Amino acid sequence: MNDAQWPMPWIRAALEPAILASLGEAPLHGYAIAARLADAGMGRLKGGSLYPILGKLEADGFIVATWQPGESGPGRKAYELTESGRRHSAELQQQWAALSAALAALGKES
Amino acid sequence: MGTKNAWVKALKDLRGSKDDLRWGHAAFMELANAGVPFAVREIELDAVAAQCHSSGEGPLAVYGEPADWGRARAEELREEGVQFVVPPSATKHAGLFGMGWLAVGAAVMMALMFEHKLAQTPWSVILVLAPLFFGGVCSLLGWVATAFRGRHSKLFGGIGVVVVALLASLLTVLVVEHQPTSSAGTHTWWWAVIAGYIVLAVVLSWIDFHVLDKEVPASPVTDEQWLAQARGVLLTRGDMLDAEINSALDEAVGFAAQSGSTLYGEFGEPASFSTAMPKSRARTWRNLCFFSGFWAVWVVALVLDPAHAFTCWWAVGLVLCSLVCAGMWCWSAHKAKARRN
Repeated sequence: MNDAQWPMPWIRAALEPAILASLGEAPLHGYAIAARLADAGMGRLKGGSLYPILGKLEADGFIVATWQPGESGPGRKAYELTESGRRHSAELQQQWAALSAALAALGKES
Repeated sequence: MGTKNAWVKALKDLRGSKDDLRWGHAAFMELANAGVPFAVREIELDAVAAQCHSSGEGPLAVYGEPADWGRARAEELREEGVQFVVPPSATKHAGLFGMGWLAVGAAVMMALMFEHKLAQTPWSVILVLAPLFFGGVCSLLGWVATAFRGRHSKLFGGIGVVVVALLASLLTVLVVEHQPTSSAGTHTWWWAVIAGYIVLAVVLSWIDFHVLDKEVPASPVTDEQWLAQARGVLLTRGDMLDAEINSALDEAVGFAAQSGSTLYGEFGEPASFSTAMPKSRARTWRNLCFFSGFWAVWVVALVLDPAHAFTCWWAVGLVLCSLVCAGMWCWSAHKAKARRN
């Protein structure tokens, strides 16, 4: 992960909600998720950081993977949010928003 | 591997919780698989213990899952410029670990059988060496299956397993039928055999802890080497279906190709990549049946009649276990194919 706009520990902590949010509109394959997060300013995510989280989300039932055979190269998986994944994503977004608001309030107090 | 170190004591003393200790070991192994040197791992875990001590909470509460923490911390250490080392060879460790436990099992089995059967049985070489021979055949079967599976040939893998099983059965029949026996098998001799197995287990464990832990600086590998190593590590795990391994590696290749980077650059050490892959319950259960089946047959054979029934039971057991193995193999492959379709 480099070229990120925020400190690395923040980005690592936010990866799970960020990945879920990136799948909100349409199913994406691994590299497209990484590209989406890079566009959002989270830096270029390496496969070694992305796939463990995808695996965990899949094991928890928040996303499902569908295998797509490659036309000229190796096949790849497209990841899609499940219903529980959508709910979980919405909850996480709310929690992050609350955290951000709490942080902003602390700043104003000081 | 670090079991007597300060961080272990610190985590143990922290709250007296076994969960904390388990967390420490899991995190330590995650860092090891990523290639973090031993000395750095100790420093990291010392820092974890100190943080937990000051906060009064366990490492799980403070740092989350050990695998997640280990993976993220390894990445940070790499970015900080720490020189990584070649991770401990899972194959070598598993081999020595397996042989060590085989020796312990052999000693226990011998001791259990001693009072019931062996003391009244004429001394014979095959009975003394049976546990090791038995374990050797198991390992050979596993190795043949793994080696052929790595080359995508299920048919040849199956044939290889059956051929090894048949040869082992034939060898057993020949050795048992023509074994030299004598009545010199005294209590002292039998206890010496049991002690010998215990010494063997201790020696193997010493080699595992002290010889294999020599660290060599890691260097990036080519994509072909990475794929071969990753396939080997995933196969050695023994709990992933062939289709799952192929799918994971294809996915990794696709990701690296699109990012324009190398597989090593994207995913790090193959051992670390392996720990991120989920387990397959079907394969785990198959392995359990396979190996426990062998042991069960051996125990039954010895209890029933070590002199005669042993040969027959072993031969039948080998063939049955091979058939079970082949059947479950086909079933799991079929299930994986159906899941992908």
